[in-house]
Amino acid sequence: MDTVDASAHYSQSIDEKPSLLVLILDTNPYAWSTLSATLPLDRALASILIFLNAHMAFSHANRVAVIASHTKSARFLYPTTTTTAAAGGSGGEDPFRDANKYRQFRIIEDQVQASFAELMRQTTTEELVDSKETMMAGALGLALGYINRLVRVDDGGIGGGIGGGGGEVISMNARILVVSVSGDLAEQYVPVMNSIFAAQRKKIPIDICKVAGETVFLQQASDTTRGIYMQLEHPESLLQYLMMSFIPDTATRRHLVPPTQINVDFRAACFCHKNVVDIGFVCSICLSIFCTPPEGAICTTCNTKLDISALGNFGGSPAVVSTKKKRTKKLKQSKATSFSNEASATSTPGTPAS
Amino acid sequence: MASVAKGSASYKKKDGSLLLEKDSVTWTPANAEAPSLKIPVSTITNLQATPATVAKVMIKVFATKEGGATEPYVFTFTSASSARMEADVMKEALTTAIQTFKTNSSAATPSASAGPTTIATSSAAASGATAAKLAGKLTDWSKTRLETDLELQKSLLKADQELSTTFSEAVLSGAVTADQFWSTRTHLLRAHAIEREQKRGPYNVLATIKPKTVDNVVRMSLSREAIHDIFDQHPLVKMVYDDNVPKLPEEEFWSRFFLSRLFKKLKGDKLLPTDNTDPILDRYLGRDDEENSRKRRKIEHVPRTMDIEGNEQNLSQKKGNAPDLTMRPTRAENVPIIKTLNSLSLKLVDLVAPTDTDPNQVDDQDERYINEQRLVDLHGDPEEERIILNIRDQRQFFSASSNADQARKELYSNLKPETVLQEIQKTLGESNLNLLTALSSGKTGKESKAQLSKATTQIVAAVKDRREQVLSSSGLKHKSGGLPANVFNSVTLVHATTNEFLRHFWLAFLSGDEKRAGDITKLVNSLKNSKERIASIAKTADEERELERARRKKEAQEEYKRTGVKPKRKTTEVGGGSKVVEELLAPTIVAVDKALGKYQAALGKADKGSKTAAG
Repeated sequence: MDTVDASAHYSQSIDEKPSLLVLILDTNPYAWSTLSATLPLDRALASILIFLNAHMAFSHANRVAVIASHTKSARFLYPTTTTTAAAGGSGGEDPFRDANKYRQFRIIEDQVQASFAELMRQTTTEELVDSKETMMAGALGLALGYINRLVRVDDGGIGGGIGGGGGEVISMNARILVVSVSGDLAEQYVPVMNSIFAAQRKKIPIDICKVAGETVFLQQASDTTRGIYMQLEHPESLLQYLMMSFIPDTATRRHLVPPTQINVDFRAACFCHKNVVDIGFVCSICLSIFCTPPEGAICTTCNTKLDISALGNFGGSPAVVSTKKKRTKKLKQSKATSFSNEASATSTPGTPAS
Repeated sequence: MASVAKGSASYKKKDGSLLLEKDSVTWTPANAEAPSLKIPVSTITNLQATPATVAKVMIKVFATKEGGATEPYVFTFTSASSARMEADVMKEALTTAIQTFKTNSSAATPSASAGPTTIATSSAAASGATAAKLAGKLTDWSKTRLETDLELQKSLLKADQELSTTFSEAVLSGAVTADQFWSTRTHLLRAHAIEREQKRGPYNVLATIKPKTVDNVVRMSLSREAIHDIFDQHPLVKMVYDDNVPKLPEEEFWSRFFLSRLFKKLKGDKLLPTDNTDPILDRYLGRDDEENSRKRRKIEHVPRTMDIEGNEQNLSQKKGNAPDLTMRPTRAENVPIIKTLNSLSLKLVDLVAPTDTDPNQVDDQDERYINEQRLVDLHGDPEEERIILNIRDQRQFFSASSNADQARKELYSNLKPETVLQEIQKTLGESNLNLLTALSSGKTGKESKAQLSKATTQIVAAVKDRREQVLSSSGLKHKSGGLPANVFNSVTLVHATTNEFLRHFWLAFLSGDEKRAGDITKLVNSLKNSKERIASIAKTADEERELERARRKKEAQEEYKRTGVKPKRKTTEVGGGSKVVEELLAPTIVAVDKALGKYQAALGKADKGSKTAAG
């Protein structure tokens, strides 16, 4: 119905939606501890807060959210529930501190710091002993949920009706920025991948600011969602990276060349031994990757019984010399149909690898 | 010599006579005694004939020669009076002969499954198809049939230039056999076969005929098929033609027709007072048999849900209510274009035999339409039939930790949780950060300045890299990287063929099938050759580059001599060369090396294995 109205023509050209930035901060204490020589936590936090302020300064309607991806849980640092917010807001020692500061900035700064400190206060040593990873999947899930709630209009009136029925009335441009300091996420492969695909569907770019550590999954996250991936060579200058690479919002990025690093490793790692494979076997149900067909033809991830009879001897030891005598030895393996082989390495397109 | 059918026909533009005997077709040149061509019926795989509407009467016989290749023989029937009849007799006789042969020989190969050959001369074939395929419907899209259908493969190669070059490179002059080549391309064959099966339907013929005025004379080209279509779609024209043509020369009839008001009316154009009048043809203007004479498709049973017959009786126009807004008597010759087009469309639809309805299902139609009209969203949600996917906790099977895992563990292992936590709590527990002072914590001064500029360099480098990619993918930059066209072509060709070899190599290599060991050896040789070819292309590229550079230099010098202006350095710079070739083919070379390496390793292993077995 909107398209019939002639005004649609005009409203299209004014596409200035406010933007929402959800920042996921990896708060693994070990990782920050190892980083303390190059990038102390307070400095990193200050850089991030300045970056958030910069984002807020662009438009009065811009919004921000900060999520901590901690060792055992993920939680919001800003905006928080009222109790902690009150504690953070009124608990500021000097209400007249920086009286000239833009109020919005100060609220964010105070709340993020207060809830971060609260989070660390609640963390016990016992908890830290046996968990050294970070709950990135949970944090991504929170971020996507928050974005979904905020971005889809539900203004109660006609707009809400259309939004509920048609589904997609987008009021804000959203993006996720992950400041990652710790390493592998392989244990959360399935949930992380699901989050990535959800973000891709919703057209939410996931930017990765990789301060330390190595994660293939996060590279793929930024690549599939068309976000920016940046592995910091000089973590000391975090603010410089944040301000130069991650400040433009999704609407602006269409007109810019993104500084994303292009040599993304697309090769898959098998689930069984975490080896990077050129040719692998994929479960037809849950898409888990294996370097050899799993034992007993049962997928280790989803427990599906796989029919591998049609695979024959595929992937077995290659027969390069025809020797009639060895025949009997080869017959012992009987393998797979629902396995498809991905011969990705053999069909590289002819683009120059520059 | 029991001849079943005979006719005078030319073969390869020589006159002669075609004779069908009991088990072979022979053709004898006009001035010779003995037949010069003999095709045994047993070898005939397919038969094609031109449809009845085409002037040229031809029969095409496909026969397998020794070695499996099919060869078409085309006979044109030359008899002035009875060519069509002779051809029909010949066709009929041949068809029965082939059929009897096939039923007799039980070993019918799948490739010769042309089946009972019935003539598919539907009205649709008259419009577009030049030759009605005699073979019955080939709706068998199975892999084996597609891969053995040489005819289909040929036509696909003809249609796809790129595939054709790959084919000739990889198969005709390479180690890949045709079977292997097609075995990885069944989907292409299937798509092509389906595409070929589709027939073009009837179209508005009159609209496509456009008289051209050359030297004040109206000229047009009119094919026999077009005339046939016109008669089919407009029975009125056929009537006019039948009435007048003996009296009027045919050519004159058509030229007058296309200028007449009748033509305009049938086409749906508006008649103007300035239009030519024609004493003969205008007589037919008033007739509206056009509408009534069309062949209606018979519909046996109309589902009650969509039967609007009853509405006819309530039609307001028939009861005298304002049929026309202008309230003026309509002038017959100015039929609105919409009406004409509607009637034409109806006719076209009627000409097509319905293929989407199954006559056996007529009874269920009512039920179907009622089902279609149900409001699905008013019903409750259907029960979900999902398979529950149980994902196991993955930690347990990742416990077989890899190196990276180990490294991470080690990295954190010498950190004590208590100290780590205290450190962080201390940092955060203090009063709120002053952003500016916090920023300068840690290193300060010159060193941090250097770090900042290094960071900037990293970002700018990433942007530069990215820009290169964006430019090359959007086509703003030359794709060929400055290579001359012929070199670039050979680069794409060698890339395509090498990929082909690689694909077959991996298929054979990983199959674990000993029977394919011979194939692997052949393919490895091809891969080695590919590497050599890449090297030679690189060399040619260098040579071409030198030539181009010399030419430009010479040009620049001449320019300098002529004008006295020193040429800019840029004009003598030439892109391309072996470096670009190597860059373009780098992934290919890597892939080939990897394949060869794996092969060598497997070979070494096999050798060792056989030695230990022997020893």
